[in-house]
Amino acid sequence: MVDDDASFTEATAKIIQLLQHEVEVAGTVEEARSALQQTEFDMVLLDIMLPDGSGFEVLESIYRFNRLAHIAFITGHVAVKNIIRSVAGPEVSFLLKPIDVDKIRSLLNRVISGNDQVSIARHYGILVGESPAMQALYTMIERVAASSANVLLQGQSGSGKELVARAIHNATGCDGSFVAANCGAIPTELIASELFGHEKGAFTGASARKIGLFERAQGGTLFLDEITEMPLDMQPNLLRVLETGKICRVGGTEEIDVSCRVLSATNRSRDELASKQYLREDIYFRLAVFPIELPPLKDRTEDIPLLAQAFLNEFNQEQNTDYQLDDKAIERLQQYSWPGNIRELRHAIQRAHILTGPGVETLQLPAELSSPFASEGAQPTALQAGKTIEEVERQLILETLKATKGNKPEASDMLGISLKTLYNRLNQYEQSSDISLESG
Amino acid sequence: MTDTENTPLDRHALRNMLNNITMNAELVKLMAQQDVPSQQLVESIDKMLVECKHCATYLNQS
Repeated sequence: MVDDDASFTEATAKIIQLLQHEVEVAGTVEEARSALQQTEFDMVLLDIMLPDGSGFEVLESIYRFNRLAHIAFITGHVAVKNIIRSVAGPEVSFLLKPIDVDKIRSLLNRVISGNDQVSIARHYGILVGESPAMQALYTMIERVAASSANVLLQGQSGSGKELVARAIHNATGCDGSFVAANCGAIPTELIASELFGHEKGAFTGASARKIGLFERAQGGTLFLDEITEMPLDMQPNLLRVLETGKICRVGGTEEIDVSCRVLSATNRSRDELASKQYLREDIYFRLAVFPIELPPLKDRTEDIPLLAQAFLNEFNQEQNTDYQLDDKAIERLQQYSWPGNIRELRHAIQRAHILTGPGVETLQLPAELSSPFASEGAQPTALQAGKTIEEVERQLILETLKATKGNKPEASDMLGISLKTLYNRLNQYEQSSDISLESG
Repeated sequence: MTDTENTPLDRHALRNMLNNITMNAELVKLMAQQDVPSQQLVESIDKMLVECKHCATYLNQS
């Protein structure tokens, strides 16, 4: 449990022990990093704001040393959940304050012993599915993890390409971090700076040195989503790094050795890649040393009950409910074609969970399962890919202030930090840029 | 009670105090159900009382 409120952690730790689990408490980012290096945890309960940084900084250590640990954020407000999920991934849980024993017990049971709900096996700590298509995928993950080959993941929108990338990273057991970026979300003029970093003064606005994605993924995995959205004229720069294993920061002169596996992904078909030239041929052969095609959900309908149950467990845990899936609902879910794949299924279960009223035991599916954006479009993300932890924290604070129309007491309450901490952070931002503190 | 520019109510601080009271109340309930020695229950109740006094003092000052 990583939280700086000693009174809270003392009582919560005793509760966890009385529930027959072992617990270790860290009050700072530094203490958490140290504990994560020394002990393998099943779960990390994580506060967002800590005295020496943010909970996001602890995520890197979790991914590096405790990658199978389930992450649950301790927060006082539901409003920050979407932003946290866009950083930490969809698999994280939330413990909303005020916390009662039942919430803690439910979370521990769900994650550690699976007593409270139907237990779902997660391959490589992340993937759900036992169909022949997924078994074949697991075999490929095992094989590619044992090599150092770059992998191109191809699959329809919503088929889980980033989760498979994380699974490959987990399977390798490497020491470095998993660093993900969406090439389609990076402005063309910033691509080089994001990938390779830049030196202070390299261009207007480069007020400090920035470490690029390749350096951040040193010893680990760099995941480049929507690789086909990278402009063709930028691709030779990427090709050079893949060939030489060296980068040069924008505005710099020194060549830096980089060693990381590059996983890339696209929802373009193999035919489109060849006929429409989204990728240069030379870079395709560098990135797709080991191409993996992800099956659409309609080709693995036998996994739909497992996936639906996994999502339902998640929403049950979040809302402290205990809805069950009945055979009729499962049959309806299996009959639908899911053009938006797993993302669409998750959305449908979430809608059904909201729709189901109190006092009902069985999940009530909506009358219409399809959604207007089911087949097209990427998952909306609150954040631009490739941001640093500091930038993410800053965006979280500024977005929350925007949502509260500049009301700082309300924003600090939503963020779960003191007013003093909020002012300290804003002062830091003001000193490093043009943010005004006058609002609210 | 409203927030003002001069005396803003730090809801985070207030929420922390209430959370600590809640957690200790939950702990006392759990200890009572598991026949934990009463001295430990009293210690947690004392902590709740301290937090209640902090709350009252804080609200009087805001």
